[in-house]
Amino acid sequence: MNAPHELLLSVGVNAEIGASGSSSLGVDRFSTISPGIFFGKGLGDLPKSLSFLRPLAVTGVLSLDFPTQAKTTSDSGDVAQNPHVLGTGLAIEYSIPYLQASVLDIGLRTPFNRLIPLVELNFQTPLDRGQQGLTTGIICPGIIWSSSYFQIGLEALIPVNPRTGHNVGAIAQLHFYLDDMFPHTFGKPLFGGR
Amino acid sequence: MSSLRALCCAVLILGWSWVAPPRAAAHAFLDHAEPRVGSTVRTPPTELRLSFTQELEPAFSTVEVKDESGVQVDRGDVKVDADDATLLRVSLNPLPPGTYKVIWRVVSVDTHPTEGDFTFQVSP
Repeated sequence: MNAPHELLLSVGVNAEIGASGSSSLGVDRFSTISPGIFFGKGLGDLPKSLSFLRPLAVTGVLSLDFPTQAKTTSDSGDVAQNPHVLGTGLAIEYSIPYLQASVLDIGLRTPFNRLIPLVELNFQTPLDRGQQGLTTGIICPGIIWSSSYFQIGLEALIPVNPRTGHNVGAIAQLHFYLDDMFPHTFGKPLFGGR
Repeated sequence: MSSLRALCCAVLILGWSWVAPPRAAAHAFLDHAEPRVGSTVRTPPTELRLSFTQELEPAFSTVEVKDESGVQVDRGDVKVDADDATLLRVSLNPLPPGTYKVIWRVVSVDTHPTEGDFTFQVSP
């Protein structure tokens, strides 16, 4: 992490546990393990001449999905190949709170001073098992409203190609900041520190 | 089934009220400042006032104001307002025209630290 340059790099592993949801929703019967590299870069270190770009930030992830089964057979006897998949995700956001607190107070007040417009891009590219190169993905323009304890997000879901889908959808999300809500439990480091 | 749902809701609500956070238990972010962030003022301010989104811990909340040469121009008498614990104040020396940088670091009452900076200008 490099705080002066608002740069963050991290690694992590995501595990999607198979058969842990309703089959009517198309839940896989196998698990998928996905190690990934996460990064984030704020543009707060830009020179004064570009100060209106300082509230911009880019975050992203590059991951590789490892399914625990190479192929699965459905109840109807259909066999599906489960390829390794390269996942790429990118989010570009413009923080109004940062603009008003660090660059220029343009006079927005509650609730407009908590808005964060953003665009998220998410792509999956199979690498093998007969599906290599068949990329799918979505582009998600939207907006987040962030308070001290939670955020509400609303995004459109736009498929990037016919393989992904033909219709535009929408998603609303509610995220809670557990470290702020429970500073004496989730808000403390698990190991060491105060 | 509906009674089971009602019981679950009651348990959730009771559980929530038991673990619900006290007021002002989050990170303190700068809400607004006087002089305003990035502004140009004609009359040199005699005091800087920073208003945060949460109440502050006075012992660990500081702010400095520096001129373009890096010379400190505040009087060092930083204090959290007695009537409004979200307000941080510091008085300023007489400011000639120029650009001034405000550097703040505060700790909210739940011990979360935050920091930031911004500039304002005094016009000739």
